[in-house]
Amino acid sequence: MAVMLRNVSRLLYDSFYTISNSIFYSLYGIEPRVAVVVNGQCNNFDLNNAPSTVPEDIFKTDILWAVPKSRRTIEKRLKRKFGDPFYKPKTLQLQTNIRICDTCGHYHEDKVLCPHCYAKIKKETEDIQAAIQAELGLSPVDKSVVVLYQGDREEYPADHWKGKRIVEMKKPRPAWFSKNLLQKSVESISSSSPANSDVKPTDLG
Amino acid sequence: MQCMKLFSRLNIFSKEILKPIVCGRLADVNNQIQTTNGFHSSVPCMAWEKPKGPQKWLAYNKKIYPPQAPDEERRPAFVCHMKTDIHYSPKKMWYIACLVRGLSVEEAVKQLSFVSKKGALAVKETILEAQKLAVEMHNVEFKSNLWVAESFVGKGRVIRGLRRHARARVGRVDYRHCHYFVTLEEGKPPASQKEYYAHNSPNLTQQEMLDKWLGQMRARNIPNSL
Repeated sequence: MAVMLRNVSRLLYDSFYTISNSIFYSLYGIEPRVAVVVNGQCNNFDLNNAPSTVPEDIFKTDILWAVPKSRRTIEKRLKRKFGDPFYKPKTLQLQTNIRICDTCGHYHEDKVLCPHCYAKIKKETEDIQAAIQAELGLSPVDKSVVVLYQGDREEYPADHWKGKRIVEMKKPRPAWFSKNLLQKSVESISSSSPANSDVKPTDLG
Repeated sequence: MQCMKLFSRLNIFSKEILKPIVCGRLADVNNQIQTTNGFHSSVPCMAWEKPKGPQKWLAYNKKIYPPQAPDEERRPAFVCHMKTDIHYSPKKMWYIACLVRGLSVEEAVKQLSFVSKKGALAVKETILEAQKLAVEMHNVEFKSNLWVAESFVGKGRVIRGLRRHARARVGRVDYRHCHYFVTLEEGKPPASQKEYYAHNSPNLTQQEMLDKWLGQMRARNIPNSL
């Protein structure tokens, strides 16, 4: 490793020497001077009296590689700041995909469900889930589960609920929660009517 | 407090950083050194401290204009409001301030609600506060009849800190703050943002340019002359 470093440094040293000799004519006795930054100090020193090729010294001589070659023009600076209006503007643009929710009146993006309404429904769902978990616990689900709010049970006779596990919610049904989420909109084919007939939905609440 | 949260991130902090933050915000009204069991538990502050942060912006609200002539165009009601020491870079806040210029208050708030940037929340809050102040204190009739006449950013405190890198190297961390200034004016907003900027650089006709130049030439004066 040390040998390799020494060879690399010697290669660099030699390449500097050959390049500088071609640039500075030693006919007039102009010794090639190379400015090398050593620990932040810029010292002009002779290539003839180059630093030793000991590996530790290589890390001490900081030759700045990644340094700007020329000043950034105002055009380039403005491009970085503002972007390009055709390709990719960097300034914030007015968004035209914002819509108003018909139900609640809050704003939302075009292809997104209204977050306000969704949050409301999510909260209600969590309440139902909590009620179900409290009622049924870890027992296996062998019968269909029906979630009823206050006043829903009385609408049907007792035998309507036979064979179903009922979870009662301790609050009245929310106005936006329709009872009629499961009614099929198309009647099945029967002997009387040859084709499917549309069913008018009832009890939409 | 915001300042105290930053301390946990700073590896090195000096008295210079410590003193102004503690003194500026926690100065006791009677300027008494609080003691517990004989120990001084508060930093002694001066009797009067130079106020920190922008002072002149809110003074525009207090300016009293002379009564207008009957034929003069009615000066629209306005409110100047600001939010200081927002922990956000002024360079980044600039984009948000530019978005909002020339929009009606409702449109501005709506657009800011869908900007995924930290500074957007601060700007939105400032505009809503300004709207409320306009109605309560600045004789604005309808809160939706306002538009953003001025919206710009100023540089706030920069708290320097350090972080460590690999190989015993040190990196500097700048905790930048900014101030946000807004003016809401009563009335209809300009038709577009392009029109908003047009009043700064009007496109003058040839005759107008000539007249302007001539006016400037004639206004030249040799001081202390006869």
